[in-house]
Amino acid sequence: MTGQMIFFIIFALIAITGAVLIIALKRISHRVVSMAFSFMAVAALYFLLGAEFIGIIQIMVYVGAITILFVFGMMMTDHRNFSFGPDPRKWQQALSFVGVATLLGLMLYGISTLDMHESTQPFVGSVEAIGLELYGHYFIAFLGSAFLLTSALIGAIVIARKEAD
Amino acid sequence: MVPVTFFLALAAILFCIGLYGVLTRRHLVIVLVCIELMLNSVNINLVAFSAIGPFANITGQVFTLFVITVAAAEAAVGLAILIALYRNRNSIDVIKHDLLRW
Amino acid sequence: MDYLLMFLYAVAVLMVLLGGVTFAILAERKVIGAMQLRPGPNRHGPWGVFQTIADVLKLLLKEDVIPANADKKIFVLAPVLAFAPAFSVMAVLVYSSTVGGADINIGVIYFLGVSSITMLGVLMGGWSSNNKYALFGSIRGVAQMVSYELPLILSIIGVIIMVGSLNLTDIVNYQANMGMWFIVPQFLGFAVYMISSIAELNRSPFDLPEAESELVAGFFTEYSGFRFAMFMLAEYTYAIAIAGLATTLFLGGWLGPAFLPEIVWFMLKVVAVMFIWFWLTATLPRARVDQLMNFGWKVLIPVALLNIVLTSIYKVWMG
Repeated sequence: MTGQMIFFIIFALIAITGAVLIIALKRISHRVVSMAFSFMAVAALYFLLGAEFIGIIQIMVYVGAITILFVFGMMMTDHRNFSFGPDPRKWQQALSFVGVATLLGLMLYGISTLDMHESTQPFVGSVEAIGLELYGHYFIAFLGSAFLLTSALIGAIVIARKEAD
Repeated sequence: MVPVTFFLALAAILFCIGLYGVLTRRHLVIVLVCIELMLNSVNINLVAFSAIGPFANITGQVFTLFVITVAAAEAAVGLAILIALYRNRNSIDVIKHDLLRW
Repeated sequence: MDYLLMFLYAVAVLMVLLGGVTFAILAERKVIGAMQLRPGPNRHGPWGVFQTIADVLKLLLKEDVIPANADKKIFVLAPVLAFAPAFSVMAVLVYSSTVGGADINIGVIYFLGVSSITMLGVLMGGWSSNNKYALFGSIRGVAQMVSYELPLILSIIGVIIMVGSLNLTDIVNYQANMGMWFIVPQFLGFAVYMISSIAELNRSPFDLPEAESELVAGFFTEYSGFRFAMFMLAEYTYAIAIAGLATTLFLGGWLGPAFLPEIVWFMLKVVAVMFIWFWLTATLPRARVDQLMNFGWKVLIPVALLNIVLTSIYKVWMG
């Protein structure tokens, strides 16, 4: 049991617990906070893998921006009552549980039988390497994501603002 | 070093939790949160392969950046739609929004 | 053994920080008092030195009140979420050529990324209190911090383009080789950084989230006892960290004539940056919300972008 393994288990447990709590908790504000913890644990896993830049971007975007966005979304909508009354979809719940469990079982079986020759030396991607790749090989995609973000910004404002009537 | 299969298993578990949440939860904000969770689990796979996979190189991390960009845009537009829906229908229960259902 | 050393370093930084925060609060009150022609705190100890210690003791001995309608778990968690990132950004600051924390090659981005978690603490504190002043304060605070994070990051990019590295040690060494601090070639960036850091720290004249005359105490209205002390601690820790980053990026870090040790130069520069903030607090009245937002989006961000363009042209021209 190496130090990395111990840290992996700790962070994986935090991530999974946070994800389960998103589904299990009653109050919507608690769920959003547990989401933030789950995302932070995933960022820590990126650090463990040596992808420092991606880890920091994960914290910046998910914890710093998207969680705040969800909290605002929660405030602006109905957050007082935390249950919607009886669920008419009992069958669907049971069915989706069985389906998802089967999918998970299949995936875990496939992963456990996977035979890969792993590189012994972990690859450490520096920020410079990412930048060179981003501005060289993937330049068109990079520009495309810039347009995507701009249009998402404008679109979100147009959709969410009150009608000027 | 942690074997890459452990990361794959973690990503699969997170993906399935997210999928179950999307299928069964009724609160629209939580549905969006679960979609973010699924995108995140895909990112774990990409970064794990880019760091300790069989052909470790930088491409996985670059793609993770693109996925994060799309996730941010999706969250912003999704919440905007949610707020517009709430203003018009006065409910964020998924079941109530079935106008387009056959 | 390595882990033990890391732990000891963190404890040492925390202790120095607690002392620093104690005297930063005292210095703020003394400086503002002097500027307004009054003595400031002068009852406890000579020259009022023990005033902050007495205040902290009072806060620790007070009853810890949690409002009946508050969301208890998040109410308890919020001060921790506000303080932990403010303290963990100290991990990458470099105090002299020998004393420093983690020497990672993404130091600047680490600082900016981790400090953005503070917003979550502010929002959660205001939201969970179940109080209208706290809610207003936290919404104002988050809107302001999100808006001013952009110019803060954009103003730093000029420095990063010139150095070509995100490592704080590299940035200081570059300034040593250049023979000039970045405040001269990057003056535009420095101005934007100083203004937006004031807004980021919720300090006057941009202290809208905790405007005493409008919102009681903003997002920590309902907090008392040691949780309140923790919010104050987070605020001043973050102020010291941002002043430390300004020192490293624009004022040459530990560089200075050799008659003083390097670490003393670093601390003197941090004190100088904080003195400018205290000065502005004593001088300027509070801005309005719309003025604040207009200034951020219509003045600071374009100026920061202009700085990036000018720096890139210079960099390409000079090779």
